[in-house]
Amino acid sequence: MEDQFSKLKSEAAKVDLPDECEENDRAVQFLALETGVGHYDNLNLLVLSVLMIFIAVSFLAVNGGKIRNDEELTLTKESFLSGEFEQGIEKRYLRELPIPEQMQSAEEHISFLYGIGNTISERGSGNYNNLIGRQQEGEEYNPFDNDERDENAVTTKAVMTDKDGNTVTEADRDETAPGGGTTAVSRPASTYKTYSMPDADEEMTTTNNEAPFVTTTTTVISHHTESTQDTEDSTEPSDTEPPVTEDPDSKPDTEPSDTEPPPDVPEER
Amino acid sequence: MTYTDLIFLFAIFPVSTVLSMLDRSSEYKNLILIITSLLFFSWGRPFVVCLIFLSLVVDWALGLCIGSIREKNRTGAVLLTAADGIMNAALMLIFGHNYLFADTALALEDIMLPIGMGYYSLRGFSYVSDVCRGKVRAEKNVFCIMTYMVSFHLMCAGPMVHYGDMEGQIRKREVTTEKLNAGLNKMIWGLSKVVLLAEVFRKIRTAGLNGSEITTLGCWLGMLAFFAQYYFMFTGLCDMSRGFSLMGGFVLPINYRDIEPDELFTGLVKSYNSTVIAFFSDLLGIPNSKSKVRTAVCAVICGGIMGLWYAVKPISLIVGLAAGLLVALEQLFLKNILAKLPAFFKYVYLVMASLLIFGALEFKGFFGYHKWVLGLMGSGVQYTLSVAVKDAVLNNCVLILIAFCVVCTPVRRLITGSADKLSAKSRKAYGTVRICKTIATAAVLVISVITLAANAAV
Repeated sequence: MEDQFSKLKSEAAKVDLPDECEENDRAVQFLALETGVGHYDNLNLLVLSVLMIFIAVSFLAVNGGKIRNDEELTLTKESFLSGEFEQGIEKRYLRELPIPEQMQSAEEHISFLYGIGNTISERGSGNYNNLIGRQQEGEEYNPFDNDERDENAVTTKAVMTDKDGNTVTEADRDETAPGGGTTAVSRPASTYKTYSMPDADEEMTTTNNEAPFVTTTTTVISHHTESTQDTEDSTEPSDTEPPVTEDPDSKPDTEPSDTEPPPDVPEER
Repeated sequence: MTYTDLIFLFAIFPVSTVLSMLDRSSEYKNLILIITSLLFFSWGRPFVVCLIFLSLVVDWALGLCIGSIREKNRTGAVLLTAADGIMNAALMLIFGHNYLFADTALALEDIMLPIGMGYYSLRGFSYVSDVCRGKVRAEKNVFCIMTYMVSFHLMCAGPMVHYGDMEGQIRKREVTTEKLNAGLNKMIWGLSKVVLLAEVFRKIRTAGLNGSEITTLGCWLGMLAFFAQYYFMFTGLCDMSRGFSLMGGFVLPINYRDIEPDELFTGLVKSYNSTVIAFFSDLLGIPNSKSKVRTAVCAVICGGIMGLWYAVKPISLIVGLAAGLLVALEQLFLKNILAKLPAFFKYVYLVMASLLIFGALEFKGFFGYHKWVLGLMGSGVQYTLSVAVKDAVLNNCVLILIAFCVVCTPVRRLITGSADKLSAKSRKAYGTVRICKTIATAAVLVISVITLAANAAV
């Protein structure tokens, strides 16, 4: 076929064809190509159908090695009408997919092709939590509609004392370094820290102006005046600290008085 | 069950296809198709099978009644058609939009609800109304009606096809290698749209429209991703549906088409779920209307009906009416003004109109929508871009680029045109292009299956 096509082409090149023959030339070329269409169509069909059949057979026949005998599938009128039978079949089919760990690993490796910055989760532990992560990601949410604060929201409070015996209340320990620039850092609200020392009748407010929407409130109630160094130490949350206070009502540093605790009680929110 | 369930793709569908090839008669193929479709439709919810049989038998019987009295008693035929319409609407509301009946006796568990009730109800009603209008004769063979009504090819994303267009194929059809090849290719590329591309945009949407860190670019990218996610989900399912039907010997109408800037917002609306829009337009008499004002009014009503067909919620109705109103305004006078704009500005107009109208579908109420619109303009937003959005975009930039080439018609035409030119050079070049296409299709199938299996693996 290729010879015929080349022959036609070479012959056409020899002859100085008039304009009206150009269309004929294209038609000849098209016909020559057309005869190959069926050949490549068949090849395409063969490759894809073999692949489909291979996947179908391997999914049906190859065992994932996780058969559980405690889930017997019995076809009864009740199990069929309640849909339990079909669900059982589907569960068993998915459970018995071949090489599930390798599939998950392959999927992660393939994701490298999708873009920049993809990582592979640690596999050594045998803990495959990526499915759970995906499920959580896919949960329905509509946060733009949730501006009104939830009246029923439960806030947690942690009261702790520092090494000097001062009571320390942390608003949020998840704070990351304030960003600045134009990229928001994923973090909860926390920007300003208030230290109240009622006995000393002194209040010190530290404000981070670079991230106004992110606030942290730290209240230190002390029976004696603290040094600056002590104050700094108490602002550094650590992972070992107990649960911290969620502070939905934190306001920007323009209203520091809102954060003042009652005289004798640690501030609660 | 959906088209992307592994048990359907690699167990039920291949078995059904192989079984249907054992005999050339259409009756045998129809029987296999009905059994497979009932399995598909009622998987895990056999109660639905009873519902299907009951409703399609009613449609069939009403069709016969209307066919026999249509010429003698026109009013009676119209009343029967209206009764069928009410029955199908009730079916759609109860089983398709069951959230309306929460805390009532009609409330059903999600697991009991069948899929595709919107399309199913429309098919039932379209058959009876076509008989009433004399577009198709009443079918005496209930199995032909059953094949039309329950065929899984039409279940997930349409198309909304009339019985008259299917009747010939139900009675006689052939499965050729050309159809098998085209169908397999369509199915695989559709699967990749759903599994790979729609998923990418879901991630960007989740990150961008996150109320705890609203950013300007997040509002833009999140909403564009929202559209892209549903576009690829829908077009992917349509491609899969068309592929399955080709492999079963059917040739179905296309349910979506390319977005052309010259057709403005009207063209954009009609390009998505086009067979359903055509059905409602036809029902309201828009194609036959000669009055511009009547057409405009009908367009608004059609928009409202479409909105309610998608979801029976106030926001859907408002969005549908708003879209219908813009279509009506274009028909009345805007088209003449906007047609003079350069293509770029037409694209800008389309993007802005779509964002502002259809963007509301993402929110439960006006408050969220208002907040998002302010975010779009950068009002009350401290940051331009969040880390989550940046990561979601960068981690999937290759897929986003591919998605852009698929959606953007001029770019896609440039690529396919170049491939055509290359393959027209010589037979060797043609073969190279075809083999590359086969390899790409096989690779896409493998990647999609691995992704599906990795997500589903227990």
